[in-house]
Amino acid sequence: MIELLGVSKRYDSGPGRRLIAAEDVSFTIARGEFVGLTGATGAGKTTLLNIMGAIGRPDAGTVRRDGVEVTALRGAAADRYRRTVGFVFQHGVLLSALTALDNVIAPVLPFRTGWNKRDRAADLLAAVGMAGREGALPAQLSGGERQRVAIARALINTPELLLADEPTGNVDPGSAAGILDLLAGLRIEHAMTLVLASHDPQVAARCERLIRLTGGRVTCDIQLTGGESPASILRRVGQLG
Amino acid sequence: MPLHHAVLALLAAKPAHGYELKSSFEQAVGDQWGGLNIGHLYQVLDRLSRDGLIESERQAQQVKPDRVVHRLTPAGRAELDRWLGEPAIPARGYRDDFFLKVMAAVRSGDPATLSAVLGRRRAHLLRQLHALAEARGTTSVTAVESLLITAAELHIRADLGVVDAAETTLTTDPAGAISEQSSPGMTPPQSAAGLTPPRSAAS
Repeated sequence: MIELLGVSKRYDSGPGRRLIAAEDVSFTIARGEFVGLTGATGAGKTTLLNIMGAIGRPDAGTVRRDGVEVTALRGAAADRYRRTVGFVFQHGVLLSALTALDNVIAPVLPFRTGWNKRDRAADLLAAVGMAGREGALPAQLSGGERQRVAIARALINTPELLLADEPTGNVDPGSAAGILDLLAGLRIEHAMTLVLASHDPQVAARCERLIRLTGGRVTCDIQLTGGESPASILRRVGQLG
Repeated sequence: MPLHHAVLALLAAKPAHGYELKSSFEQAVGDQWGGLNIGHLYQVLDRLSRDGLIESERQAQQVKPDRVVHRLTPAGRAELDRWLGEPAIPARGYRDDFFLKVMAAVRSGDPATLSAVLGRRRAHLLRQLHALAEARGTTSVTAVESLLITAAELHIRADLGVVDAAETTLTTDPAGAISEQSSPGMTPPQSAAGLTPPRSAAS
């Protein structure tokens, strides 16, 4: 369970100007939930993801995960926490000199692990539909393929919490649907909590719960399951006869 | 009347009786459209027959009751061709209950009422998008069904765009929203008397 309590964050945006990225944001996400953060560009989605992942720190308020106060963590403790979180960014940033396989291993390279890193990385690449492309360099991959590698990399630590920031923002619509299917499937398979930020309503609609941000505030928090049946929507939209 | 022409299109392939038409229609457009009411279909067939666009012939069956087989006439073929050659114009229009609710909310002068109307509309549309995404993902959809889902998704996205526009224009200048002097457009008016706190943005 992850809890945000009164989280606020402002950025300096030039002389005398402060941008509100988060304003007194409070919500709780239960383990295993699939939550979408939505809102226009600049509404504060990325800021909240960063704060949940301990990449950013709020000016006020606290974040707790499973009883641990994330916002109080510093140094090695914050590093340890970050290793329990998987991040997927919009651009699927990969290290250009490394192969797909080595990119997936990169986050755990400095650590002694009880398992064979190469085998696990190869398994993850297969899970994201990239079997056979282990040796490819990022430059040889399409945008959608790079994003798949980035997702595999985010999973190397078997995170309990996966934070995805516009994961389909930089790929064609066909790959976008595949990446969303992949994230939704992996979340169920690994019993992960998935928090996905997107300004695209189509992407947001894949989530089970939606939190909408406007100017850093939560303006809507709804469950998306249990809506009108697709047949009845289509009948209304189509209105044949 | 689109269903009339859909029936003509199905009969253009081969003569058929009522239940055959019902099942071939449902097969063609898929479950997603919803079932076709057989009573409605018979009304349509009567009308087409009266207009001379189809011929209906009663055929005796040995055990079962007689059945009526319908076939396209040359006039029916001509009407089908004429209809196919016309551009498809959406019949749905843009006047709906939402606009009346927005008007009522704006007139109430209470910003909370307006934002609740917009919020409920947004939540409803997003739930619909979610249901369609699920339908696309779980059922084995045919190409025509998939196109129907796409059409519905695009409509809903457009409706969401209208909610965005309403949020931008009406909640920043509700006073101008119904006054004739002001013309609320897609850009937020530069009003200092906005009901909501000024929006700031950050990424």
